Amino acid sequence: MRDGHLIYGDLAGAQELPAGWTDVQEPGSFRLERRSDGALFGYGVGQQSWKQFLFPSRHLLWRAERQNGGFRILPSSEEIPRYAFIGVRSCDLQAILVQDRVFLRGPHPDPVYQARRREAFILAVHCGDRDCGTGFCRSMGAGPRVSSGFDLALDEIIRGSDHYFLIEVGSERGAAVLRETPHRQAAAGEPEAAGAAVVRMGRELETRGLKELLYRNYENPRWDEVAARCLNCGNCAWVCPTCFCHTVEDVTDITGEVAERWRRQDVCFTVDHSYIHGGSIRPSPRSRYRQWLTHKLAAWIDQFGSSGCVGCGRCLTWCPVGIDLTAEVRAIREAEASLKETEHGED
Amino acid sequence: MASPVTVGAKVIITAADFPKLLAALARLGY
Repeated sequence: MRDGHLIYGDLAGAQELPAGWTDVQEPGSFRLERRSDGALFGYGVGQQSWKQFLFPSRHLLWRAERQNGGFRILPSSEEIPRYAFIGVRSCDLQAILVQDRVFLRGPHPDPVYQARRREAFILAVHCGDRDCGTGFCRSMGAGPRVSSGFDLALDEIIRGSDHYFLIEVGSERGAAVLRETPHRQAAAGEPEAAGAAVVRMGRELETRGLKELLYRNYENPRWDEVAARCLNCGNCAWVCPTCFCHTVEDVTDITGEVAERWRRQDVCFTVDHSYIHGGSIRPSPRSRYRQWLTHKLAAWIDQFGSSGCVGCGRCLTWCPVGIDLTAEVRAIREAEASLKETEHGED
Repeated sequence: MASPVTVGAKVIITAADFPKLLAALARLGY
């Protein structure tokens, strides 16, 4: 915790974990509250995600300098950071796997993401006995328990004065860490008991036929209704752990001797993001919200083979007017059904 | 300590020892 917020940052030791704190989340609302115990991982997800480390919001792609009448591209001097992500929730681990499909598959893997991802150690935490007010990872098949892709995965268990962790080893790197840590083998029955605690999801999303539903409903009147509330601030996309929109900026110094190309994170809610010579192809708030939601829940599947949503709930929590993606999809379903009923009645 | 740890193993560590796990990560270069 820093300045009263849950943040992902440098960790000097376990004493910096938010022991004894939990979060209460609803659309447009995030509060930290004290727990009655000293759980180290008694909270869910904050506004940040691990994407900020694997896909930095601003990154120097290349630098060039004028030399002998031409110019020379200078080699990148970035030292690849070796991160250990502590306390990765299942939804966020799935988000990393979603971004893997975006950045690593295909003929041109992203070298920045690839290098950071290869080095990253993942200590995941199963979601147990707590409320997840805006989450719907179960609907998206993304939780609440982690199933793969981790180095270590832990259940935190507090029973009376007993406070311990049941840890599953997911990789040789994870095993190497545990060999350096005092431990004992789990006894028969302990893993099952640890996994019995179930997080209480605050939301659910019907995913059956969702892609086709959204493709059929580009002109659904619900888009106008939500656009009237949406501020187009882009918070939903900024906090989303899978959104990867970015733009490229070229800069030169005042002497004209040095030029740089930077990659900067962007969101599809800005008019400029869809500017193609002569104008923006998504000039209205309605078209931008529709693009974000339809890409996330439908077109992403065609592009990358999975949904772009992991049900973490950040887009609900951090929307300043509390727009609830699950409610919007439900409203589109209902509007379509209602329209069909009306048409049927007129026949 | 020192029982063989392999991929798929499930082990218990106490909350008091959790800082040692973080320290092990740091020693291994993370």
